Amino acid sequence: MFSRKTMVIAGLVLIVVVNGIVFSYNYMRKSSFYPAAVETALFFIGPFQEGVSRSTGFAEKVWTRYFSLVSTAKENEVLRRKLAETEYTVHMYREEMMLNARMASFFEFSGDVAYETVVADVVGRDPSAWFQSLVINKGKAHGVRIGQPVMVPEGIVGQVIGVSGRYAKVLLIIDRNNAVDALVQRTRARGIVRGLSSNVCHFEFALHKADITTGDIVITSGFDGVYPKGLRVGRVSQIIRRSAGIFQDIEITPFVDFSRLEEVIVILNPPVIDIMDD
Amino acid sequence: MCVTQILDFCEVVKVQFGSDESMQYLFYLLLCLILIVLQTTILPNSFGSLRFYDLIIPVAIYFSLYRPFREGFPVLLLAALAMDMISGAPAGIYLTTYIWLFLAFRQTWRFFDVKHSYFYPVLVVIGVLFQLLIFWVVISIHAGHVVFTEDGIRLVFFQVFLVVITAPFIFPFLQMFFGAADRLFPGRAIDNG
Repeated sequence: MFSRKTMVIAGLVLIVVVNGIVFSYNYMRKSSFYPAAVETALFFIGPFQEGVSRSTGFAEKVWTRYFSLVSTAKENEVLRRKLAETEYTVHMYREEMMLNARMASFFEFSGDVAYETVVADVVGRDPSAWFQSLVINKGKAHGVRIGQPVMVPEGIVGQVIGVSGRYAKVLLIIDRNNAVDALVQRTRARGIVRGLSSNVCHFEFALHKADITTGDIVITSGFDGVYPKGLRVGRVSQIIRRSAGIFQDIEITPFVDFSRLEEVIVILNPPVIDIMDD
Repeated sequence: MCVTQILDFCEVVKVQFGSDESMQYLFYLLLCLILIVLQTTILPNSFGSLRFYDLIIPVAIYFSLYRPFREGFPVLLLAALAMDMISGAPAGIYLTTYIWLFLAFRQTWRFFDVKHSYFYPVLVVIGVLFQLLIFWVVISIHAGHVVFTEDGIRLVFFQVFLVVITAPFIFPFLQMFFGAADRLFPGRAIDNG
């Protein structure tokens, strides 16, 4: 009925259309298809990733533990000296904390909220350098849900964007698709931390008049409804103040070394901010 | 040793359960699964901020040039969906890359004699550059401006360099792999396109 050429052209047009529809799913991640597809992929691939990661991790540990003992003795001496110094610092901090507690009770301040957390191993990484994500070995069965923040003691890591029974996909803060509402700890100047898919992030929308200097620490503001307030994000590493424009061009180096992440902490009960209340 | 065990396992499964056709698809999917796991676990930790090129691309090109449409298309479709879902990239980006490469090269060899193994590394370079181009376009659209970074240029040269070094070894491996698939599951006539 139709010639071969017509069929080929019709087929190509169909593929272009289907391709466009699939691409548009990127902007419809709230659809029911995307989470289900991610869940299926993690269900099948996650266990293999975990197996390989554990094997390579074990081999790496054997190497570092048994073959680098030569430098350990020297390192031990340095660490002992540092420990003594740290013990003194901890003592001073403890004193400060006790003073803080007394002051808090004086003002009937409620203090920090204790977060329910779960520790997860990193079992997979994004295959492309252009996008930054991780696969961790905790999922729905452990209470992990889409949108929960992920961190390490050094600072925030990212947020959960896909979850299966035993695995979850985490979008890192250095990914271009991620944004974190943040503020400068010293001056409380607000802005948005946006990833650049490299080892640095941009601090956007910080007003030209805001007092920000190199070395300032940037923390989460808590207003994005994902990350609790006060978590460390990074340090201001470069500022370019242009004569035109109302915002500063600021670069941040995150505290977290994303290339060396092995374990992360997922916050299971992050504070929920109802924007409508404001 | 390990390969022999896998082949023995496939033989047992085939005898017990499957037809040659379905086993062949499973065999190909197993290859894709191994490559996906490899490039999401070991390889990202090997080159710092740089990354190895996408190992599914050489497979997609091999499928395109040397295997029938009905074999390559469904396998690449599933591999692309798996990659899309496992990575943090916008959904559909890997699907676009693999399927368009598969279709484009299938048409190319009708006009140009590129089926000789000498051309294979060149074709893989083209495939990798095509994928990088798609990534770059998507990122630029998302950013709202043309994204042009030093890291990006370094990555392009690094990946092309890796392809030039590794592709000549990948081709005989794939020949061996698909030859083993044909020997193990001969119930289906392979017309090589």
